[in-house]
Amino acid sequence: MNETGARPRRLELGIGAAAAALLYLLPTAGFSDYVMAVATSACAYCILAVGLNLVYGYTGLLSLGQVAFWGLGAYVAALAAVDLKWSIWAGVLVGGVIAGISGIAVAFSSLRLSRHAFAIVTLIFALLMQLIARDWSEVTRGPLGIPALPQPTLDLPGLGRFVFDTPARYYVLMLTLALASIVVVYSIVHSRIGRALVAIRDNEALAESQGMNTLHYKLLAVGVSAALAGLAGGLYVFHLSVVDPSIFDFAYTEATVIMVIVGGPGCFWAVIASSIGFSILPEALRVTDRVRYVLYGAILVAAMLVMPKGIGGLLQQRRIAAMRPRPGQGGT
Amino acid sequence: MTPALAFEGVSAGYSDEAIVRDLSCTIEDRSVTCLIGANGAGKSTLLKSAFGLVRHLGGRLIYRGEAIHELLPEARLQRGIALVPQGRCNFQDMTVRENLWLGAYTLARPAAEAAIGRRVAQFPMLGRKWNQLAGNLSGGEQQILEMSMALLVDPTLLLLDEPSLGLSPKTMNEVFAVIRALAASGVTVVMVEQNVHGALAISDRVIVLDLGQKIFEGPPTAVMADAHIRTAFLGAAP
Amino acid sequence: MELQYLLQLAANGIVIGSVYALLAIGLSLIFGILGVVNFAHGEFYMLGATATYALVALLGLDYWVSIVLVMLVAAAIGIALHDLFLKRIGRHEFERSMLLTLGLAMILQNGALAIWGADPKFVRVPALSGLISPFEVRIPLTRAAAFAAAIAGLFGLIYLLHRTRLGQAMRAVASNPTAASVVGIPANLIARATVAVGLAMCGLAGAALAPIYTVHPLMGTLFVFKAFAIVIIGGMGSLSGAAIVAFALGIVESTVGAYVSLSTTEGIVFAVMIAVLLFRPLGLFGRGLRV
Repeated sequence: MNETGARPRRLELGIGAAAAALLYLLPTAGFSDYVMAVATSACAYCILAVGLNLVYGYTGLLSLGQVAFWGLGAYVAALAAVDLKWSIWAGVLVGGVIAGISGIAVAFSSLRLSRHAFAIVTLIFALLMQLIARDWSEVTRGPLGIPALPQPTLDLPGLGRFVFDTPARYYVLMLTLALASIVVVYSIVHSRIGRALVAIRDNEALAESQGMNTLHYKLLAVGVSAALAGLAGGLYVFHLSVVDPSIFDFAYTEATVIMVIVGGPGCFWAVIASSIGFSILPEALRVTDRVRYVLYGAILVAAMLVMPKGIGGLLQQRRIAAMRPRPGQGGT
Repeated sequence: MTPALAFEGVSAGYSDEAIVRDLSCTIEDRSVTCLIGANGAGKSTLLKSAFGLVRHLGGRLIYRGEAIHELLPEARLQRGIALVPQGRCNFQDMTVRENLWLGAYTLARPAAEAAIGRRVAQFPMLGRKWNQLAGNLSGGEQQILEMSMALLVDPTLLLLDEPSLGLSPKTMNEVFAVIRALAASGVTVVMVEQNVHGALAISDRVIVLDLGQKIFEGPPTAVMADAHIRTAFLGAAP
Repeated sequence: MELQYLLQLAANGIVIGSVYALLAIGLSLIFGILGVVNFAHGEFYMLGATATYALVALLGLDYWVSIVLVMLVAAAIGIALHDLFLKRIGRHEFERSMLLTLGLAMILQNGALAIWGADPKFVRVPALSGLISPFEVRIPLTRAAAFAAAIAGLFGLIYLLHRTRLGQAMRAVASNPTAASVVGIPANLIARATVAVGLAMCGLAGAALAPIYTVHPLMGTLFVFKAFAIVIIGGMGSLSGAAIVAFALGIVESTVGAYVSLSTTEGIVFAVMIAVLLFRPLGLFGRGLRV
């Protein structure tokens, strides 16, 4: 499953760096605020998808609660900024940490049982978070949420104060976090840890029999992806300038799942590409949300029936098939 | 002698990956055949492929002149093939009575009743434990129950996967005696057995598998005579 | 606090609980026999209610006739659901089953919203406009009828599972799929029948609650999560456990819900579910079937 060899790896990193540089130049191309806002949300989705890919694609654990960590980071960052008057950066960071810890807690409790319990508990955890956001109005302000969030500013020594007040500027911020997430997850999946995660996904009993503490690795994967989701949510709410219980909307989960499934669980670049594609698609489609989600559902069903390993998996399979002819006549 | 069952270049496995690869052999009618080989050699897979419980990946399976490899298990059962899988393959949370009735699932009610009656007469233990849960029976009793369930349909070909697994020596001998009696009554038996010495004593023919392929076939005496196979699969000295 | 009032609340809760039981048992059956977690279960309940609305309010059909029709159609849809989709999923492909049915749920829910809009609809059954008042507990006839229908459905299920050949085969497949194959039980046909029965129960649940609640496309979403909660708390695969928890949930929701907000009650249910998963992984009544 892993890409092999140092040379393609170096090529991969070169292309990645060039693409990143180009992406940073995007705001200079004079796109409208609308386009930059779409690009900003694409960055946010990218972080969610890369995180879910780490958990589901590489480790084989279906998390239906990434949105819980995303929303948790968002609420923590917003409350820290509004109620505690913290700096936004500190709030976002703490939001990420809290999201990561809660991810580990959810995973620790449910993974003792089974990966099935993990899927269900993450799902229920997300629902619970939304209910708490709506009902614990002393803290969360209830259904209407917290409006008028401040804008992040950065004091650069000698250069004065920089305010992230336009979509283009915010895009640079979100892009930086997205790239950082990509780098973090890339280094995990291409390290010894990543190989361990794949081993767990493919045959947990075997991995365990070789003396691996599989639970630690699984907790690490879930913790990292939850922390990334929390950071992304925390940073993104200041772009929205409001946080309310709809940040926990199940639709975000659905969209993120589609991105990973269609891209191909366990295929690093394909999932990134599909997260960008699916962020732009609704804007290009210009259909109502309803019709869009009908389409998403159809895509999910079709993907599960004909290509459960996604486009990336399909390409990979073809590559492997080209290298090694199958014995026998092939399955039915 | 006509062959009861013929594997013609059969490949089979649990996924697209073949565990039994391109295997050909014939099972003579009214014979007892024993499959031996190391763990993972594909013995159970071969047995299950004859019943249709694993994925058929290539080749043909001919049962009394009819190609059966595309038939579902229930259709093979109707043609007289029955399987007793390895280890406690019964309905643990149901009673012996319910298990036997399920064993006779493909029979009409009067035929089922008669068949169950015959098995209870043959194995009085079944009658004694009539209303107990199958999961509460001892290992040997469960093995007898499972064989009885398979025999309800009066199979002409009986596939047994490790019938002596986990049994005490005494029960093991009883099970082997039952198999011998079945063969004498005209049932063709193919079995996988870890207890090679006990199995060879009642077998007419032995097939040795390694890495999903047949590496030897012959009467038990020939297997015993082959030094290589003896050391590899039968333990040093018989 | 008045006893009369509590009894009133409990009566309401039992009615809702009986309908929860229909949904949860259907979900549990489909999981036990196919290994499929049916995410779209709530959407079929929604479709059942919507179909009841169409038959009763738009076509003016008799309510009881409508229930039977809705169940039949739901069973037919169940057969299609099995043959088109679920048949292709292996027993152990848990994630795949969940994602596939999640996709179906998205299509059904958003499709319903796109077609019918989000406006709630009301099903009025003139014949059920009165009240009955046993022990001075006032129960609207609509609720009494829903309870009667749900109980009939539950007893029908018990009869099916314990007194018929089909039901025996269904229990056999749930107990040990390999052994079921070995004795010649046609796994595919049993799975198909199971999905048909499960969906018929969804249809019945939708039809039973349609005259009590309003009918709208989002009504199924929360129900499926509650049904998950019931099945897990009751013990995956334990049908009686699911039924007991379903009734308990209905009563708790109704009584506790009178004093705190509904979403707090829901929050408590989900928290209990997580707690049960953590401390009693097999559920309160589970005997150790697969989770």
